[in-house]
Amino acid sequence: MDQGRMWSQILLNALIAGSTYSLVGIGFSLIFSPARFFHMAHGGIITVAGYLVYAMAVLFKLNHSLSIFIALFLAAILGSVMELLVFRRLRQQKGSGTIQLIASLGILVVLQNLISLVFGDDVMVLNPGVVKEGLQIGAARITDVQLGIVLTNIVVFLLISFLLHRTKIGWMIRAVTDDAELAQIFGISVELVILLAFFIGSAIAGIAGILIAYDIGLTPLLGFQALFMGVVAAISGGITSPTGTMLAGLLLGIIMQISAWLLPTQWQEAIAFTILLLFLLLRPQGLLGKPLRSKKV
Amino acid sequence: MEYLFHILILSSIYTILSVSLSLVAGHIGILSVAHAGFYGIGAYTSALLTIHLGCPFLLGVLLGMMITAVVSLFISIPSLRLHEDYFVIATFGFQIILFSIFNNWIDLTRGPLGIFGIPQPSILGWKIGSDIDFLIVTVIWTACTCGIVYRLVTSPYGRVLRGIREDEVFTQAMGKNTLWFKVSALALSAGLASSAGSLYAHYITYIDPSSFTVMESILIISMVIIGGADSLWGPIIGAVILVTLPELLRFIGIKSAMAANLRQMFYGLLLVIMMIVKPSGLLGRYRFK
Repeated sequence: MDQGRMWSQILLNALIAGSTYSLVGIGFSLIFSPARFFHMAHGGIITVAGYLVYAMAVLFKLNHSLSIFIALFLAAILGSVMELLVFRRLRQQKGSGTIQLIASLGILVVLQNLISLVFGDDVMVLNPGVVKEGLQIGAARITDVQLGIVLTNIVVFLLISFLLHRTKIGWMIRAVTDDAELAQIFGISVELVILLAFFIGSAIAGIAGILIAYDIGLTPLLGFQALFMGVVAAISGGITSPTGTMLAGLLLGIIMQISAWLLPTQWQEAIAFTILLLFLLLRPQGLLGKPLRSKKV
Repeated sequence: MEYLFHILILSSIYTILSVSLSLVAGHIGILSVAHAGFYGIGAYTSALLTIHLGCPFLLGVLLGMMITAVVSLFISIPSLRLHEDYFVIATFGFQIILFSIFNNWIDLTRGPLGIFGIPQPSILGWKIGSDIDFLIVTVIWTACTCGIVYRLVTSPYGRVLRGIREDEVFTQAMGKNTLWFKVSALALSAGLASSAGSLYAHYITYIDPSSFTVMESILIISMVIIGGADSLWGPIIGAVILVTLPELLRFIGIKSAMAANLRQMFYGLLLVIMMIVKPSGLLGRYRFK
């Protein structure tokens, strides 16, 4: 393969990978912003959504688009139920971010093992039909699903930016993000805002999970691994900023693809987290974030 | 009888892990998700040293502890200046990096194949071969660990740690270099966890990366949190409960593949319930801020 073709393929792959990191990161940061804790069970929702589509479309032979629609709705409901049953209660007991993080980690472990118990640990394939030659873009190739990932990321990013900056709901979410107590005084229902963030954020997690499942197949660890990269993107981008998260996600995609070309791919996770540690050391607020105070975030 | 010894030895090893974690989790209020990694460094260091260099058991343990303490600086110095939640995420990442090294640095660790034929230890000419001998050694070391941690947390040093937990800025204003206290406590905690790893490696005589995953870290965290992170007996009880209770699954006759999943679901569920019902644990008083 000649040099130019290889680089355009690497860049395209970086765009695809970066788009998934960004999708996961945007959902994660949308929940973090008002709720103020690291919602690890987000990874569980990613996995569950993928397997729900598998169960409906492959096992029960339902129409794919209908399955996807139902799975997304269920993912959003699952996230909201977590908020209603667990996190709302913890907040009312004045549970700290660490307590909520631990509970969320517990939920992640439960979901992941539940999936592994029901579906087993083998890789399952969702993509229907025969293998097609990908679309030609310049000198590189991209499959339909991968094109879908790139476009969906752009659409989700635009929708979330519009939601946050041009609608009343977004205005309330941003108010709670800045100062929950003050927002409460001004008559914003903090509980409702957080519930909404969980609903929308979990739906985005569902979208990410389903797209990854169509692209590379399903394993019970799917969400866990996707969550890593999403968290790295969200923190290094500036955790409450969707624009920062998307930029960092794409940048991370480029770094990952270049490193995959230079080093064996099994080192990818280690490289991603080294980047995270460097950010925490040198620029803890991320690319576009506001400076963090050390005691209270 | 052998089975009983096995459970007791494992409980003992996990007690070292949970007590070591409780030093930072309960007294400073920072949660490390990298303890399985520290545990793994200890296991690999002393296993490799005894196999390749014929290094005596105790020296291997000691070197493992020192290496692990130094490794812990890589994570503590950058991230302990940040808010506690960021520390959790940073250690999470560090755990992934350490696992990656165990799993992928084939030349050193043999990767997923693992290292076997780790010699059974001998201390000053006393060959520790039988399970009962090993149980005695582990219990003595566990008691020492508990003693060290207890001595520390009841000393002025421990008081500073709890001062940092309650109000870091105030503790700084009292002239304490809080970063030094946090970094040193984590290094000590990591070193103790590492010694548990050495014991484990020489007891089982075979190690592979699957014993040092992030799930293992979550298990250690569960033990500490369920028992009560800031109490003396809490982490001990947590370790014993979480090692022995899942053994009951074996007696009900559940297949081992399913049992692994069920066991982890049980830990996860217990964590969630504990956070809602009693976040300070069975015996503890401190709840994470």
